Amino acid sequence: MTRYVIIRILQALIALIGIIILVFILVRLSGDPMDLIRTPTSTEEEIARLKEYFGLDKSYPEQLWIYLSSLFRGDFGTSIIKRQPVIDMIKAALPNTIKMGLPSFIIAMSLALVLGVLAATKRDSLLDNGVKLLAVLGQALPGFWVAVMLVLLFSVKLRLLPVAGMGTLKHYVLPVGTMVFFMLPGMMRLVRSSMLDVLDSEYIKLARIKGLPDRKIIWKHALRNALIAPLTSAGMLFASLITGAVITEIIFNWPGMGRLAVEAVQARDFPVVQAITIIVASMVLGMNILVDITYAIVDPQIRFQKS
Amino acid sequence: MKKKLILLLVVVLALSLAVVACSRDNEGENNNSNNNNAQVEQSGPYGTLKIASVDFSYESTDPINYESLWGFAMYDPLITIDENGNYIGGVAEDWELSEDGLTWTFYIRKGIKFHNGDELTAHDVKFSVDRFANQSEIESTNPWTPYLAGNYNYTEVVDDYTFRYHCQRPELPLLVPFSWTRIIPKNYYEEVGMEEFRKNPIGSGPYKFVELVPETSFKMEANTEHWRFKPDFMYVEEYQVPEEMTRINMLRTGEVDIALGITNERMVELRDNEGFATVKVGDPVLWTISFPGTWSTRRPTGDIRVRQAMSYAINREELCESYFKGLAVPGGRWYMHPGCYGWDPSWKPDPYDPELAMQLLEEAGYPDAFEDKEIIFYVTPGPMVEQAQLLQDYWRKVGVEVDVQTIDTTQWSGMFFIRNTEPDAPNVGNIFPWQFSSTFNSVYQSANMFTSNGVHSTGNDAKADELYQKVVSELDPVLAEQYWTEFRDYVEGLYYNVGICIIEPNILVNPETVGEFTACTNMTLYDALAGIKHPK
Repeated sequence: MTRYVIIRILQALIALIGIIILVFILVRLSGDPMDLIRTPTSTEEEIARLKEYFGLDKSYPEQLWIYLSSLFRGDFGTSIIKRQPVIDMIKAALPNTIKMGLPSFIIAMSLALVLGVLAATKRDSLLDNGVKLLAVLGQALPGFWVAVMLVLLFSVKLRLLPVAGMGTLKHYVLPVGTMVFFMLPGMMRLVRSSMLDVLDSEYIKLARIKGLPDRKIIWKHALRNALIAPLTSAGMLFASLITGAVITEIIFNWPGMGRLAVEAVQARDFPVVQAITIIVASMVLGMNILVDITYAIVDPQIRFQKS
Repeated sequence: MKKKLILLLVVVLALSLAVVACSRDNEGENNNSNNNNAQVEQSGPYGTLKIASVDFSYESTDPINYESLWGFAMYDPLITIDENGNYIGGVAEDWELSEDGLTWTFYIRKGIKFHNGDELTAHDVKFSVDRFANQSEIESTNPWTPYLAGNYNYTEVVDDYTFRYHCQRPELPLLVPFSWTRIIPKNYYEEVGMEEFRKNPIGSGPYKFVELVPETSFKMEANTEHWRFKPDFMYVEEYQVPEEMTRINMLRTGEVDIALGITNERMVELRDNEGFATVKVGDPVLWTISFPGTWSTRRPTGDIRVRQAMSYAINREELCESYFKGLAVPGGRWYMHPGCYGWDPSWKPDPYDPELAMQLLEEAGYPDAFEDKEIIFYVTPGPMVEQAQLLQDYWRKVGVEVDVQTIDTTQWSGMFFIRNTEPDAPNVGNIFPWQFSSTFNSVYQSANMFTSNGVHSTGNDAKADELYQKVVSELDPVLAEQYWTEFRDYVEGLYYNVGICIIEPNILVNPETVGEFTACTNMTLYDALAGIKHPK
């Protein structure tokens, strides 16, 4: 098991270095950032000084080497547009994204688990049909529309909740609600279908023949085996939350990573784009490892195969 | 048992959402925390003015950065400009220029206090001017710096209240960069260093710094001992809200009192249907188009008659009424609007005259429509595209086919802001729109558009260069303004740049929480903050 984890971590590190190099090249292929920095009155001398300041006067291999060694020291460089250390911008944005993402994730996963299992065990009941309807709505309605409608209803019409910002608990309700609405349907359907598959399997039938109580069969034996697919999906969903909440962050004016990413891409602020990409890549790779380990914990078959 | 637990979990989750949703929050954001009407009898500043803006840009608190908009409220300028465009005293209550035009002497107002209680003296002025003119270890990125730095000889403190700026050659328009120079406390800056100064800035302006949450909010508190203004609002809070609909909804719910960056269409809707008010703050925005490399291009725009025809083909009245919803008027010249420095009231925009346009095209050798789309109208994503298509339609009606191409802002800036007049250069012979706030004194911006050294690749006329030199070297203010008018009159006839519309610089306010704007409405919103009153 330990060997397996170490190998997975090493693989992830190699992938991360590859991603860093790829991002470095792609960002520079998109255009000269000096065109954004220079002002109408910039002289050649000033431009040369700015190039030197941002390290753009060096060759690409030199820039890459400096960038990699800076990364090793935890230095992501300086934002070209904001003229601030990128790490400070990330430090400000990341906690905000987590503040919205974590509760959304926990609520969505809890509801998905409960509703998915109940829908699977009570097929074609009112609850099951309700879950299916919710799933269709959640997947069909555009995210930005849902968010805007929530604001119009709860903030503008009913004046119950603030439109935007993140000062108080009330500020969390609409963004978290929107995020839950995005995440819940897919996960709910996945739990439901996985449970249906497992409930049809031989060992569940055996458990029933043996006379085990239903709740034990469902919540202990069936759910545990049905969790493999939802776990994978949840891992990726959590990683994508770091930058995936773009619409929610923009509409609710939540100063997180999604909004930062969009602004940086629009302004071609490549140190920020690079940093965000690397963080997202790290998150995805990290979640992959975590999901793999969780598989092994949840499913003994996998643990034995891997060991 | 398990079923009950699950039900309990669902109920708890649902309840927690409902409780959070319906709970009263302590700050009462939705009920407009200002409580302005309730407190209208109070004396002295009270309440909070809340603003939703699009972007904080550099988020700079250092006035050395042009983008430090908050700096206009936190610092006092060396000199400033009144609503009629006259230069008036700021930190300097008076000033004089020596007869040879080489020495500016500024007499510093006594009794001005920085927010930390230190008195403002000529030493602070010298320190700030030197820093702004790139004479210190800090490199200023302010676009006004090159003008000050380019004519800097040395500065001196004559006594605690007298400061002198010695230049290399006489140049009356230096008043412009002087009015952009904001004074910071030398002792405090040297004591804490640049980084700390930027984190906890201290000025002498009508508002003092409280807190900056990057990418989120900025807060200032009234300086009740300011020498010039007595702010009505105790606090000003600004939020960065990139999404327009969110800014509008925040205004609707009372979460903010002022919304910036609202499109004309929405602004008119909200004003006419929902009772919000529009207030003009700042100089109007000008929409013009430029023709780089007219003398070197092989394209039709090299012929002045084609450029004139394109101007006559535009129905400016229609654009102002339909596209700008009546919030614009035809006209404007490069960075100039009626009433600004050197404006001649007889200047009128070209009328809409498609027949004259077609006649001019025929005279230029283009009796029929161009066979190919030879002229490219380069625009960046956003409203520019739609606006260019409107012009494209007008031009098509008189037989000028223009290809509207949307390109990346960086690429666009590279073509518009870097001088390149080679016949085959991508900017030469094509068209570039510019929509930007006008300015009272546009002498320096005009050099970039109309002289042979300008960055926009448009100027290449010996007489224009000569007239410009006459403007900047004249020391008699009356003559200088007259020469300036002559210069602008002459260059307008070259059709390097064509004015289309003057767009009102409106901001959207909630009249229930915001009263009259009583000061500096000709400058930025941040200059005007100290004059914003509570509603009566």
